[in-house]
Amino acid sequence: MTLTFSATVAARGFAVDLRIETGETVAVLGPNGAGKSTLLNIVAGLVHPDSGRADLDRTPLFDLDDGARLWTPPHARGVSTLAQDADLFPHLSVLENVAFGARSKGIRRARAREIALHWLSEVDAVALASRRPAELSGGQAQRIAIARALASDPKLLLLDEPLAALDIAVAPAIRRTLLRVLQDRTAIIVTHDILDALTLADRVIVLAHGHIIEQGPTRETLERPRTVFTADLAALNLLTGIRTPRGMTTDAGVEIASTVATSAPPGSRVAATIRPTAVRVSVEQAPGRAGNRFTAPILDLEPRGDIIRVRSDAISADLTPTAVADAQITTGMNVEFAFDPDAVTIYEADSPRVPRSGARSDSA
Amino acid sequence: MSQQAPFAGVPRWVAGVAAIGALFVLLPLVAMLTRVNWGEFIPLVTSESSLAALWLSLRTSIAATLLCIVFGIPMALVLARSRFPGQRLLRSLVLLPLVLPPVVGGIALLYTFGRRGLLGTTLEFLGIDIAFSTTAVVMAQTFVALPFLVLSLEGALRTVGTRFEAIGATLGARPTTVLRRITLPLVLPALISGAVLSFARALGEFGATLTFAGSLQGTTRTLPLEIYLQREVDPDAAVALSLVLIVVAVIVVGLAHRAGTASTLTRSARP
Repeated sequence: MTLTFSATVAARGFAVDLRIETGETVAVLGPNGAGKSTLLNIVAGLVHPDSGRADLDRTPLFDLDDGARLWTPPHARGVSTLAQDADLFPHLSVLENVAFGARSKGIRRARAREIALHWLSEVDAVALASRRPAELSGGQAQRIAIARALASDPKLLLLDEPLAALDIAVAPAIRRTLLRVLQDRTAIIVTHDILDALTLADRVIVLAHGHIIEQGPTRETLERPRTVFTADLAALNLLTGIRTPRGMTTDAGVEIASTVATSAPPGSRVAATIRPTAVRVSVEQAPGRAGNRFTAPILDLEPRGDIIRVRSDAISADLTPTAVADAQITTGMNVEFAFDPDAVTIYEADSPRVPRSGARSDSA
Repeated sequence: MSQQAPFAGVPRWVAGVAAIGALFVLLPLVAMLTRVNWGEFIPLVTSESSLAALWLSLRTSIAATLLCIVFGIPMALVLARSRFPGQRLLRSLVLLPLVLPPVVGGIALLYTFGRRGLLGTTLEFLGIDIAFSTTAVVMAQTFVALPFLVLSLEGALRTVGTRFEAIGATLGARPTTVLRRITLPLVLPALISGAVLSFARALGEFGATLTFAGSLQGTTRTLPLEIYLQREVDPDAAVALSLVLIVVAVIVVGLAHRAGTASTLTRSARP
């Protein structure tokens, strides 16, 4: 079930080439409007690209290159979609919803029922079979939607932020279900959540402005980001510059010391990550002290669960609300960001597309 | 759900104006009820001409409603789901019978399907004579009633949107399967209320029928025509028949209302 895909949509500035191997799950990350949904809709057959071609398992999905006008309609592609909202058919029972795909392929009622029950048991929802969608909670509905998508026996499964609309309390259970059913399945998952990517995907693709800006194995790509957006998504500060014997000189000319081992030779282009939790913020500046320090105005204070992310244009720090309140930190204030040399991980920035250090991604 | 009345926020004067409007609609009905000759009511409405008119009205209105369904569903689908140049213009033209005086509609039909009409010679050649026949009654009624179904269904199709249809397609359902198993069940309440409205409009049709089909007892003289004619010679019969028409209309409106409530239920029940 290998997918090869290449398409452009001029009106949206979309131009993406990708290949997904059999059994591989690929996460597509990117800010809003990056073209993630466009990608899924083109693969599903709901949006016509201007040019390109795509094959799923050597059967063409579309071919619009060199004057060819081949277009396989959505129902004949073997591509199922699981969206943020379960969108179960409100007029059908849970069982009928799950059996829909099989029935549409002309499978007899009794057999379609068996298939539906099998997939309901896969998502631990057999007990819900006779319910109406209106009688389900959000998490239950999403389970049924997973079963419905899988019961249509897709060659490729598209997941469009499948956990985004769920309660924080339910999401982990659904994520586990997805992890189980996505084993050995060819799938593309669009997500904003790094945890989804880390748990579910073998590989990540980062999209921005309709183009792939970064891709690679999930963990490596997210731990050693080469773009500000990816770093942001992975909740890491990203600095770029030139390797020095003690650490690095950033593109803005700041000397950074690092004691973390690295293979990057002096003089090479490097990137460095610093966890925001490792960054301290102080209102009084103490020039004498050792370690890395930046002075910068605070751009905004962003609440993130039980911590507050204090952002400047170069670096961010995660503080507790109490710490923010005690220090009376407010937006616009000039403060000192400090972090220890052992918190700086330096690695080679082999990509020529690395943006300038400190350029703040607009997705934040 | 709480049983308490939610905050309504309707100013009193609005309620007052609404009451005047309601009176304006209800008072004539009451006035008519006071003029019904109850002693003669049964013989009046069961006279041969009355029964013939009632029977003809019911038959033709049902036929017209079926035609509205057969042609209205595809029209609503095309208007709601596809995009083509001139679509807005086409929609206004299709809905024209709503604003057109029915007499004008009758004249237009006559000059299309009448013996000397646009298609007259072709139809005559085929041995079909439509004007002043029961077929003409059905056509006149369909002409004026079709927009009601198209309008109500098109609105529902737009409200329901295409997301369920897209999901159906990605699950492997062909367009016809999607139409049969997803689209039509989802808009069924609107289809029913649209059909009921079309039926009511067909039942009350007067101007286009008289112009295009004439007034032949048992063939083209429907209940509204019979009432109009009786008014000249036997006002009691006209009032009695009007009451019959009102009863049928009330039943029809009741059905439409029920279908309407069912449709809001489905909509709010969506997860």
